[in-house]
Amino acid sequence: MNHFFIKTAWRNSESIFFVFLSLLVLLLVSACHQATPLYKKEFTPEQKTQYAKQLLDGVGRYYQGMPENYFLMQEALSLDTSNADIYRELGVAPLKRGLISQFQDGYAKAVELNPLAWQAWRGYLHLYFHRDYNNAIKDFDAADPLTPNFVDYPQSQSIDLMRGICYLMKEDYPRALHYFDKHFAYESKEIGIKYLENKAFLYQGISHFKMGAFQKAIDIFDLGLQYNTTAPDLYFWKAKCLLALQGDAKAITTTVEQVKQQFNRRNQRGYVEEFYQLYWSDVEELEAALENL
Amino acid sequence: MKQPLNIALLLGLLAVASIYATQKKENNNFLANPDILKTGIVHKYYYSITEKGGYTSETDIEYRYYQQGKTSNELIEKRYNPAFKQDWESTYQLQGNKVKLEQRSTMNWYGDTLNFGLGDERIYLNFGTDEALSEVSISYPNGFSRHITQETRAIGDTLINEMPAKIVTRNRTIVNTKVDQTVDTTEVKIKEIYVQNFGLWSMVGEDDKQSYELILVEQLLPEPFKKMAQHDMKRVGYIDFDKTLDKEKPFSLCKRQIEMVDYYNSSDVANRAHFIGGKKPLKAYVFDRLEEQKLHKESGYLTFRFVVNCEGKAGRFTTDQSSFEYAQKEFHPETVQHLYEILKSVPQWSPNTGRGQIRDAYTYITFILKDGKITELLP
Repeated sequence: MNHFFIKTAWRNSESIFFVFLSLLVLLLVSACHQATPLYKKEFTPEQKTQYAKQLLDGVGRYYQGMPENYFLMQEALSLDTSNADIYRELGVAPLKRGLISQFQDGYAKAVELNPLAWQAWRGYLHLYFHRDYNNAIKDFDAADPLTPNFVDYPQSQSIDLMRGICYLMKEDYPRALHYFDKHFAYESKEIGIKYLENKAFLYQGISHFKMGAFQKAIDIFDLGLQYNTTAPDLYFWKAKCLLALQGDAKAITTTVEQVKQQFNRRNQRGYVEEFYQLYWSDVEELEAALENL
Repeated sequence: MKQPLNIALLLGLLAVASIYATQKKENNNFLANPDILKTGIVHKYYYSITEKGGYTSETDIEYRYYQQGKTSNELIEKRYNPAFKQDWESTYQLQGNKVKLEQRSTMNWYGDTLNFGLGDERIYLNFGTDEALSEVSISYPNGFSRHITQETRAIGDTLINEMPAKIVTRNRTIVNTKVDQTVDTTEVKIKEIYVQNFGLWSMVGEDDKQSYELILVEQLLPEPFKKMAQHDMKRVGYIDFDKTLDKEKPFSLCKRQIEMVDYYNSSDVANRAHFIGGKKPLKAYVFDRLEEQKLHKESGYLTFRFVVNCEGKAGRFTTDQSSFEYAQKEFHPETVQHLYEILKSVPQWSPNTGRGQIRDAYTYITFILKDGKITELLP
């Protein structure tokens, strides 16, 4: 019984051994056939930063706001979540297309990550695209101390000029003049009065006009016209001042003629209207008022 | 009796394993593994272009989906852009070391498919030693044509992550013509690396203006890739016509919706889609018809996005409603309806004009309301 048991056990263990060995060989063979694991590139931190930037630059290959742009930006963010420019770019198409409720999705994060680059810029957008003067002022005021002794120019426009426009539109004319005067003094000193754009004179003059200081306004418009001889907006507001002062009808007529001749050179903006946008109907209304003088 | 049988079995299996291992060593396949190609594999690449001088580098994403065709010798390659839109398809015949181009087509912006013309020389790749030649051309509906010839040669072996790989060079000549006049000719020198049982690993190239780089970032299986491609994402500001305030009313586009531009797509401000005369007469039009009690003391930004078609008719109105804190909000339905009816009643708008055409355009008007008063209109 014992002998039989041992022999059977030996035979069984022998079989088990060979089956095990066979399985091992089969396993080895099948391991050779096993699919290679899917490849995924490991980027260095430097490569991640670089490719995130390049992917963001790559969005220009597609029309702004297309899904292609979105996926490129998401890819860029998967590599570098600290790149403020990507968040900013995500906000541009909603901004241009009037999707105001989506505006902050990108810009708030961009400002948080890089206020030096985007705080004043967002102020510019609040001012022109949303006519949101309070939030524009908040952004300009927050951005200004970030660059001490230096005037910021988001989208090539002085934040002092834009702060002045904000207060002008809020009908706070003394504060508007404070910033227009500041802008005027700084620009005159740094680059020279003859390089000042006509809007610096225009909005400063309009602030005086609104306060009833018509002669002061005329002096500013005249100064602006010395360097911007073809600016119909300056001629128009000068004519309004002359009319308000009930000045010489001939002088007013001559000024209005200048407005009409130079009308096509009026201030205009790309996506939105200018503040105090000049219309042909404004000129007609001025002429009608002149007839009643 | 049983023991020798087992040993024979074991030896047999070892022999199979050893033959398999030997075969693996002599494998000359530098495309994806044929077993993988039966189900398909997707390679995700970063494609970068750098201006000579190194001032700007741009990177795009390109997906290449490889799959076996009708037979085991047929290889299909489909290329997709970052939004998973297919923009390229080629069919190749695998002939030993050679990869012969059988068919190629491209899908342009608006979904039309254009087929390439193939020349007599169609060897796209050769992992052997002799030179491969290929020639393709394509004509676009706008009269622009492109003719591409290339000489390809495997110039050596290398190792990528300890895997055998082939270095392939290409001299590509691209001739662009417009109405039978040669516009420009570009010579591109390219170096590609193909890894055994894997496929294209990388590419670098340059012409006289730019350098190019293609790197493999990731491999994906077809199913996850297809799921990613089913995103249904539209452009920012897309209007779903079935979800508009005036969806029941007749309105037609002059062209397809996919070809619509935005109101500001014109270099001249006067050519942008707008209320005739600008914002000043629009304000007058609105205030003439305004019933202020219908504004319900509302505050915030109420935007109507709509289409101004090439005939200057407005339709397919939708809204974006925001608080002054830039959060979504809901205006009183009567406020929305009243301002919508005023805008809808405008008989004629000035349509967008650009590139010599009058075009359908997405447009918007925002009412800024404060305590039930309209204080401003945008844009």
